[in-house]
Amino acid sequence: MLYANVFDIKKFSIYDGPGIRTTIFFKGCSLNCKWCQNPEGHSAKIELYYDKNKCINCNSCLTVCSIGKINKSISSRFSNEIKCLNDCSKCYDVCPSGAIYEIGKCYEVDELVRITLEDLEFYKTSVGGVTLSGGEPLLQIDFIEKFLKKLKKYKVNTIIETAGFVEWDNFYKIINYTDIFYFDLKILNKYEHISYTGQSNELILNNLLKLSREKSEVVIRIPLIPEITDTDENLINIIDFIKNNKLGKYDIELLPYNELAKEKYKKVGINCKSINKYFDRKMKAQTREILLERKKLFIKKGLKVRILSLE
Amino acid sequence: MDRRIEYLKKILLANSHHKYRLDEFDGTILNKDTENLPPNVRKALAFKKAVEEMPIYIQEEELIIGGRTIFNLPKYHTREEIKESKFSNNNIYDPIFNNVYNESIDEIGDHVSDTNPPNYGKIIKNGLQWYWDFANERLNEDNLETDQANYYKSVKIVIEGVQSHIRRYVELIDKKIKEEKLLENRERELAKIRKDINYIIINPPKTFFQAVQLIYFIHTLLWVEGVCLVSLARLDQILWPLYEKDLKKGIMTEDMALEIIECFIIKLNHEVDRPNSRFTWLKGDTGQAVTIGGTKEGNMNKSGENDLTFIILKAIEELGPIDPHLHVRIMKNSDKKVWNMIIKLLSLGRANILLNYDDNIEKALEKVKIYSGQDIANYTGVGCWEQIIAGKSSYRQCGTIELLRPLEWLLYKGHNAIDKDPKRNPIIDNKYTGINLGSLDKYKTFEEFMDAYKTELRYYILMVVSNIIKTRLAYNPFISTFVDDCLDAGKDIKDGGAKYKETDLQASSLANIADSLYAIKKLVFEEKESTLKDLAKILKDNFCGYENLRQKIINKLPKYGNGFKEVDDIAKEVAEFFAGELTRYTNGWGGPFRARITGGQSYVDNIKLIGATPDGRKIGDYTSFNASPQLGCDKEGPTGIIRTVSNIDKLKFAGGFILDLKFSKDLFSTQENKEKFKNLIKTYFKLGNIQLQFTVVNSKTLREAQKHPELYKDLTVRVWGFSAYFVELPKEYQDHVIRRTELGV
Repeated sequence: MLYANVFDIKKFSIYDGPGIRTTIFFKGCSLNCKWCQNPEGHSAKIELYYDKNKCINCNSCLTVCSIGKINKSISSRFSNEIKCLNDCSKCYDVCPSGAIYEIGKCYEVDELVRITLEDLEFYKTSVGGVTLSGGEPLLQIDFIEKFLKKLKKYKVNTIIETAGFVEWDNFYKIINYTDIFYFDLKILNKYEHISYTGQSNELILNNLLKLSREKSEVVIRIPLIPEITDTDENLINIIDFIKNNKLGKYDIELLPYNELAKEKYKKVGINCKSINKYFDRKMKAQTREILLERKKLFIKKGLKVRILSLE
Repeated sequence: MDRRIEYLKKILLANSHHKYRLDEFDGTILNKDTENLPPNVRKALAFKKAVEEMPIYIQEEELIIGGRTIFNLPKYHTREEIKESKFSNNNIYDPIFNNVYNESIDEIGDHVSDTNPPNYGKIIKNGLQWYWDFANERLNEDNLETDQANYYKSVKIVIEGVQSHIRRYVELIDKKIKEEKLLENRERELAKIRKDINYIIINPPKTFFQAVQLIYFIHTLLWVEGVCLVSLARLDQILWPLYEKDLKKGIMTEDMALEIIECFIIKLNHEVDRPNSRFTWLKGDTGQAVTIGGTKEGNMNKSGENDLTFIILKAIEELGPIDPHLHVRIMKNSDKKVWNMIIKLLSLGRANILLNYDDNIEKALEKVKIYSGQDIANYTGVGCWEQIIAGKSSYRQCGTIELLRPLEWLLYKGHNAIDKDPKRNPIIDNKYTGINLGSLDKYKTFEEFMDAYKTELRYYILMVVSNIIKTRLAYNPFISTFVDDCLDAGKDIKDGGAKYKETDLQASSLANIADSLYAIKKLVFEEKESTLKDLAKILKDNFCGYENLRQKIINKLPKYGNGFKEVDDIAKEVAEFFAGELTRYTNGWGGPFRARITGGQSYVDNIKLIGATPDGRKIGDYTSFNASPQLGCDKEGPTGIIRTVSNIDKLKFAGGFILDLKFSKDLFSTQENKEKFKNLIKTYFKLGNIQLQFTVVNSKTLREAQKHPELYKDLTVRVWGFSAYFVELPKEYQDHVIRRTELGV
């Protein structure tokens, strides 16, 4: 049986493509972007999280903890420094308040199809559908292939949001069941790309070029991260790349920086020490004026561009 | 917004009209001659005296004039009537079985008609004098019965009253022009108003302005009669012929019509703080409902949206008033412009809008089996959410079935968990309890338990229904004049003169009962984590010492409002059982009971009389309102909520079925999102639903408003079925709005 690890299913999702959609967030990513807005999507494993605000200090978790040694207080057990070694999930099972919760849940194909079809009527009225996001959805390619094929039986519009760092074969397998690809373009400079995401961008750029030969419906998405991707130099590089490779036929979306991720990192605690420091810089969301200026850069070169959540 | 309207809005918010009010109107019509007159004639005389003597005023810049300044009629009940009423306790309020809140009662406790609008179309067509002449003619007939004669006498008296009331305004203008130093413009304006109102004393209005002014006079005098929650019916249809005529003749422009409508709406807002309710209730709960859109009057196959529909919408956009309650009739083929305008108003945070979906509501009304097809097409929204036929219905909205209460009776052998009413007297009497069905050990399956719950619920409905049937109604000579069948038959609506006599009963806390019953199913019958007996004890102790269990219920069990089939089916079973039970009864006039799923005041106030519940709610916690999920439990977003409520057959709820959806203002930031929002609503109605209302506000804004009320004076929010100024709500109602907006999209 084929399972996928999914960390969130968001209904009435309105920023991930046309119409009313359900967005499925697949867990596990091949990049390690330091500004990542969905840190819970990093690891492909099911993880335990702890929300201090919900804890009622009933100590149920301590009585069942397999490690047993770390029993001073629940918050120290889940602090950055101490990582649970066992992943036995016993504490999650007994926690009554939901303070300890699991990120990630396994679904079979049919179950996920059933859940996404619950909103079929809404997709129909609004010409919406299902968006696969993550993490990197294309990592779980076998599952996704089957899943998309089934959705297509119901004529559901499908979108994949990808960072592009997967074998071309993974694209190829689902290209006929995917209506639109939302393709992230982050940093054009190879070395900077490595230092901020952990990987070179060659595979990504190649995939985008190959995709452009096969697929008419691609949206290029550029996350605007202050001082990292949102620099004049990088944006001009991106524009040149788009022009030089005749990608100007595609819509381009600029994704403003979202401060909400900071809050997420506070809750996560695990595995993101290195990332955290980027948020300590007190990065601010771009103002409307700045966003419109960025937009101008693209318009000057005759590109179709819009700012997500602003227009 | 022009300068006049800005000024009128400013003085409205400053309550400038309050200084004309008389809190106690002394006077009596009783003397040796009148004491022996029949009660409806006496009431008509009292009405006439009131409108002839109450203070009248015209404020600077006002175009529409008039207004209620008194809140009681002169004495007209005889000593015998008052004495006798002390022995009949039919109308004594009790919080469980006879909890008709909003109804207006008179001096001897009799219920005055509420909610029913007059047939304004007919009034505009015929004019006031026609009613007097009609009654006079009937009085000359030979074979008239005494009751009919008394009715027609009362019609003549009340019409004379209205006429002399308007005449007083003519005189007031004369006086103003003579004695005050008015600006030339204003003097000309007043002279024109004088001419117009002088004309409508006798004649049917021949201009748009005259019609609006006449409607306002009658509306405001209905308040004086003691009617509460009185609606205005389908204004865009009623006023259309004269609007069109004036425009064609070139004596009015669209802008002038907008100004008149805005002046009218501001006048409606004069009444928002004094509903004629038997309890002082929340500001804004006035039932001043204006219906727009829907089928064209007289032509069922045509959509009736017209320029006036948009003028009314535009006025709401500009004024941001709390009244009128705007009932918007929309349908599959509604004009795109209407949708766009509604979305615009919602994005501005206008909270007084209720959407009624004709295609489904009309089917629900058909199922009541009393209305003619023509009348159904012409239905009007009244009160907070109800639909009736203007000028033909004598509707009553009666009481609340608190769905959690029968569960309490079941768990505590027929007793209430809380036997003291913390706020009001009298204390809930112990004799007022449910059925003692005996020990809880005997229920082996959830189905058996559910059957027992239904037994308690059936008993509860029977008790409330029998109290409603027993309530005594007051004579209503003024409103009865303008109800078609009353006038034809010579019968007050008290005596059943109206063609339709429908009564609604609402059931509240649907989400909480579904969550509670599901928790019992899961914890007691499936996981066997607790016995019914233990659970009853835990609830009685308000979960004391069982916080873990309570947390588990709240956080780990699925809840109503997320499209979770098992819980949704319980809600469906309870709601439809309630509706089915009501079809077994007729009210005191032989009319039907209609079921409604709404919350009214129950979710904050009445709920204090319910103990802890199995859904994890502790004593004193709020419940959900209307058919919405419990606060904080709608984790799946709007499509989940919609799936949950769509599971219930709305055609069984001709009285109404209200869902509230909440959104943050950010949703409306882009055109694309607005389109998505519209499609969400369209799907909601496609799935068989009938009504929808909204809260569009950010909880952050509300918290700011709590801190700095002076900066948010005109911020309006949806309460249960009307809009109110947020900063003027009691704190607990403010908190409820905040908590309900926290999970908004």
